Amino acid sequence: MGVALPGPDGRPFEILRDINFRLEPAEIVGIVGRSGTGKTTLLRVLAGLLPATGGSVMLLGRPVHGPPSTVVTVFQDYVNALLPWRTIARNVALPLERRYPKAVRKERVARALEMVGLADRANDHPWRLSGGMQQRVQIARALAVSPHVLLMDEPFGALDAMTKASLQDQLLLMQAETRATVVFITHDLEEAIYLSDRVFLIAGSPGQLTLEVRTDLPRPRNQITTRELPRYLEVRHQLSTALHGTSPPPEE
Amino acid sequence: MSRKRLIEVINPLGWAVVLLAIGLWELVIQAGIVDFSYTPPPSEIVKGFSDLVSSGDMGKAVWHTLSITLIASAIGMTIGILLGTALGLVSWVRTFTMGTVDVFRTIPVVALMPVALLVWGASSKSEIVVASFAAVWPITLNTSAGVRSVHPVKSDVARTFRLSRLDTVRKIVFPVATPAILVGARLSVVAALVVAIVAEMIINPAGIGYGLVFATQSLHPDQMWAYAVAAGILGYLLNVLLVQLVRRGGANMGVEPR
Repeated sequence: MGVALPGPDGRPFEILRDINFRLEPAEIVGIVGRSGTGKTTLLRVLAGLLPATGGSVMLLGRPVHGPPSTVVTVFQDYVNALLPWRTIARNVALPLERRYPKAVRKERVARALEMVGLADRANDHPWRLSGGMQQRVQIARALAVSPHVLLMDEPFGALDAMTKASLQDQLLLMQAETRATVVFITHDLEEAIYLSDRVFLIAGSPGQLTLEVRTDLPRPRNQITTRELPRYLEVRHQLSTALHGTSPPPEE
Repeated sequence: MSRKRLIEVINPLGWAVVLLAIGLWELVIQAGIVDFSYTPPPSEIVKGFSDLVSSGDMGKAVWHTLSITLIASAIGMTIGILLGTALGLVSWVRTFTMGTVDVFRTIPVVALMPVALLVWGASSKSEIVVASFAAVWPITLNTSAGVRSVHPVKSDVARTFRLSRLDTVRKIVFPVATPAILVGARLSVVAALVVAIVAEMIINPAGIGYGLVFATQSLHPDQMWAYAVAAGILGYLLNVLLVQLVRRGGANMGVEPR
């Protein structure tokens, strides 16, 4: 698959080139790469929000034109992704309206909020919640439609380290329960390794899939013990070297 | 309500200034310090006002101007919201219509009053036409801007959940645009009121505008001032009403679902 968009001079500007991969059901894939390598573009193409200009995205053997009903995207910008005039429950209900009768809707909303631990905030408005909670609302809204594929663009990028760790574990629990395929973008290499079955590295301009690492870490994962496993450190070393050219800088 | 808040609402200092100014005005004229032939003191204006109220002229005039303003606002808002939505959402409508809109909205409405007079005569119809025309533009522009201010992430949300175009407009675009539309509505009502009064002065002999002109020409400055005060009160009350509406709309930006 390749993507070109009109550049500033009006001529096509190639953003991604020769990206080829296959996702397995219930797999978790993390995409890492430096800024400007086309990670978000790749996710938008997978989501059907942007057409590929070369090649195609296939879902269960069918080409994707426009967002499929079983693929849902969670956006990094949770503030703008939620509707401030709706309560939490009605935000989560948004994709269910017209699709399910009221009783089913209510039940699905309750279950989705239960999964992200926000059942008691159903009648609040988004601005009364912390950033981490708002992102959980967005995830609940995506889960409410029982997607087969969940695409997440830097889902925890704007959150503090502690909130991030707890949301990572919640995501793993939800994924284990729903068996959805998850593809997420992150700037955080550690997060990618901790969550994923496979980590993709996108690099260059136009962006290309330069490295694919199978983490082979046991599940369920643990914030402390998983990160101490020799295999975890091995994968981290391999990806860091590929990403930075050396071992990671000290602040990581 | 706390004591401090109560004092803020009543605003004793503000009232004191107003009363002082009125008292000073009364004093200056009664004492003959200032002697313009046709400047009545406030006491005479109050008397003129009560004369007009008891004769029924004031009631009739205010009712006429108010009903024309409301009818013209309703017409202007209906057209403006539809036009503004189309301008905001459909790029080819914007491309081919924005120039016309800009030309129409910058024509001084007063210049169109003789045209309306010749076409529809000295009637309420003429007045409604020009007042509606004036009311269309503020709400059109505000609706169009409000509709276009939907954040791109919100459009992506609508797409990833496969909302129909109609649902996207109803559930995302309009709630986002509501505060801007309400501000436009407020400006439109004020525009309709101003233009209605001017139209009453020059094309349709009725309402507050005609009352003002008639009182002036029949050398009744007390009544002229009474009409001016009535126009001020009417404008103020309409504005207060609409500000309340905007506030409520801003706090509760959406509509309940079916």
